[in-house]
Amino acid sequence: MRLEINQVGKQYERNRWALNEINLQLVPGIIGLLGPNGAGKSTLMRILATISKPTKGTALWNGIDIAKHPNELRSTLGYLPQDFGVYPHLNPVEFLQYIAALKGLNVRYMKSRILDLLELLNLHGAIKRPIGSFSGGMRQRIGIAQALLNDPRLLIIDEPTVGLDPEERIRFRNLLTDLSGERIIIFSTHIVSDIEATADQIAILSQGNLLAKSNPSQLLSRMQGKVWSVVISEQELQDARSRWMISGTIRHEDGMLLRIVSDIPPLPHAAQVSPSLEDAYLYIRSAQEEGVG
Amino acid sequence: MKALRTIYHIARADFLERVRQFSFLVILGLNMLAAYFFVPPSDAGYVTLYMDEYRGIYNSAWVGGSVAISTTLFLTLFGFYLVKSSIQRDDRNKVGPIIAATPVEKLHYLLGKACSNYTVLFTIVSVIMLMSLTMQLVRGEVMQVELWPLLSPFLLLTLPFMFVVAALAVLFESLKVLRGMLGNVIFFILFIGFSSSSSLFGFGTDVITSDMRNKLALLHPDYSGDYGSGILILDKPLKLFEWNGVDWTSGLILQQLLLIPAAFVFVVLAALLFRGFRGSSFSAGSGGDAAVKRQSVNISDDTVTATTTSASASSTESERTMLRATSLAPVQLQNSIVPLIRAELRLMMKSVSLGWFVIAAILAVLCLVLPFTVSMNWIWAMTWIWPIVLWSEMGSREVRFRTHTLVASSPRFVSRQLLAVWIAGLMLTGLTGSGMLIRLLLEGDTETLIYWLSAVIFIPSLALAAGVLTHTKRTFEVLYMILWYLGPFNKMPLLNFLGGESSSWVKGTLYILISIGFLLITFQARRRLAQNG
Repeated sequence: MRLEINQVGKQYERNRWALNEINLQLVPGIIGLLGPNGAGKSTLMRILATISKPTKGTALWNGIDIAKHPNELRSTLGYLPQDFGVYPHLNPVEFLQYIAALKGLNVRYMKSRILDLLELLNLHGAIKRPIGSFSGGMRQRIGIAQALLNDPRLLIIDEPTVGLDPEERIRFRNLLTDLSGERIIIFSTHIVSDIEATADQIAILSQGNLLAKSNPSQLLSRMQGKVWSVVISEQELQDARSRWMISGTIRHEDGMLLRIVSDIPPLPHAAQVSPSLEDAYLYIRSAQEEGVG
Repeated sequence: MKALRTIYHIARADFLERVRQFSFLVILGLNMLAAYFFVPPSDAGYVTLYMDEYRGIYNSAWVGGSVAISTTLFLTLFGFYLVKSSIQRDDRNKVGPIIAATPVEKLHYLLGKACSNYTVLFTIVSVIMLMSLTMQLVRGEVMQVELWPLLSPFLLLTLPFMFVVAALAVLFESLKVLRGMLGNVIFFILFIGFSSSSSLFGFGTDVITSDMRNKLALLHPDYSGDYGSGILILDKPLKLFEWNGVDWTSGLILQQLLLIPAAFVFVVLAALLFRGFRGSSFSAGSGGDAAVKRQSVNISDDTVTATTTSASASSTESERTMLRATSLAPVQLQNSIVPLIRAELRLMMKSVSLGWFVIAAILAVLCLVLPFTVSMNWIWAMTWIWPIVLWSEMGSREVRFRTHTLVASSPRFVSRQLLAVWIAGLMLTGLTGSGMLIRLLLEGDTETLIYWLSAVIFIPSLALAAGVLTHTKRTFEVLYMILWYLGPFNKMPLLNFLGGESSSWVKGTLYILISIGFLLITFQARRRLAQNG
């Protein structure tokens, strides 16, 4: 099982590339796409989900071009779009049965899987309620359930944790980890901790470009010696913001405790701390911005 | 002053939102085309206004008067369906909750919407006015253009009526029960009732037609007093007479302008009945999303530990999840399209209440038990107007409910899903018309049976094409009601899909061919959309 993304680009307007020559080779496991809003994550995912076609380049699913032969992938694809709707008059079982029928699954045989999925996603208490009465988080979980209906080999989930409460997010991360194995899971987020907890590969996108692709430990090791902790007075905060890349602040009894990403010690009394993926993300992004600037 | 400014800005935003869509240009184009057909050449074989065996010579007065009458009738029906979406648009665009949180008064909000509705209709009438001037010159029976006789029927008949249409649209939207298709059907019945009894009120289009008839009676005392408006087929050419327009007395003008305060009363009534957006289904449950999107920045090494602890704290949960995730029931594929047809049919039926089915069943039974002519002329129409709410969703449901990305990522969705929707629509048409089918079989009326069959194919094909091509259910709703008005009710030969002069085999085949054409266009459009992403 292999998904090869070769030189994929997407142009929406003249002179504006939403994606620019993305190259990725994916094998079973979880890859997290990280990037700010407008980085091109959803565009890439739409291409991989066969909803959109690349302007250039190819995406090959087990060697087959998915733009030319989308049905080869669709039968084994699970896709949760970032912005999706539901039929408000249906209850969750009816909605999932409808999606199962669309995916060409045996609907009668699917009933037990649908009920399992609803229980797994903590929706079993609402199976008789119309989806129109659901909260945003519950609708999101319906979206996750529909993506898992056909036991997909390729699971593409765009911002899956949006709308989930902290407990549901942890549950979802666990579910994602359990599901990895003989499938490729691609999920996008701008929440670093979601990736930190689940992904074994991370791809960082910004302004349509792939900035980095690595596993979390490699990214963290690259950041060793580049993250500092320092306490400054509150009055110095504005100045510090303009001088250094600050990845976090905490109000402290002695002043402000800053977490600074920098190649060199920002201040003589700064202490080195262990890097996080968020530090790495900010570092890579800032390096790109400096490059562009 | 502040209130006026509020109303102005509500109307302005709504109007701009409408006219900046390509569909508005299409609507203007269609209305120009309609205005063209409202002034047919003498050998066209049809007229839009006649007085027994006469029609007026195409001078400014007659062109203005006859086009204003046709426009008033046409826009009262079509215009109502066209503009009856301003409040729903705010709901659909999720602006409703924002408006609900502002101090704007309901009356001001609804007046703004009514003004926007009116401005849309005014724009259309203005275009038709220009077209009527052009048409007088194009037909060339009288080349001298007189502006007041040409424009006064629009200014004093059509435009005051549009105030009422704009206000009624707001009133219907304000009441939940009238907001949907039931409201559309009720308005259609009201329209048919009003347009067929205008002469009884001495009001509406009768203001002009009575003047025309009086003038004709003076010129030709043998004139029987009969007249007709709409699309009327002629079996022989009409004689001409000269009519120079209505003498708009102050009393008559006042009578026409009374429609404006009447429209205002409708908006006030709407404000009393409108419950606002607070109970909107669109606003429910969306408030918490933004908060969850935000993520605090980790500050120290301790935070990672905290996350780990948090995860560990739910380890029991995790174990349960792991067990469940790995023991989900397996998946079985099925090539048959039958489950998808069943699912589409269920989806279609789920959008209506039990009451809808009860009425559909009653109509089917009435087709069986009432006298044959009553069933043919009235009940059959109702059985096939009643399901319009279900047909209109065909092809546009995915866009309306934003499920198109889910549908588009399923295997062979173009062929499988569209076919399933169409078959579901076919079944719905057959089921709702089943009472009439049995009646026709019992009566042995094979001629009409062929029309029944071709309509069963035609209606869902038209619905699907309209939905897929325009992404909105309104297109079919408007087209279908106009088709009923011009075809089965006004007996316009080509548009009467339930009967007519020509052989049923020929016409039935024609409608089936048109249906196939619609289907081919529909599949092609969906395929192109899929290819272009």
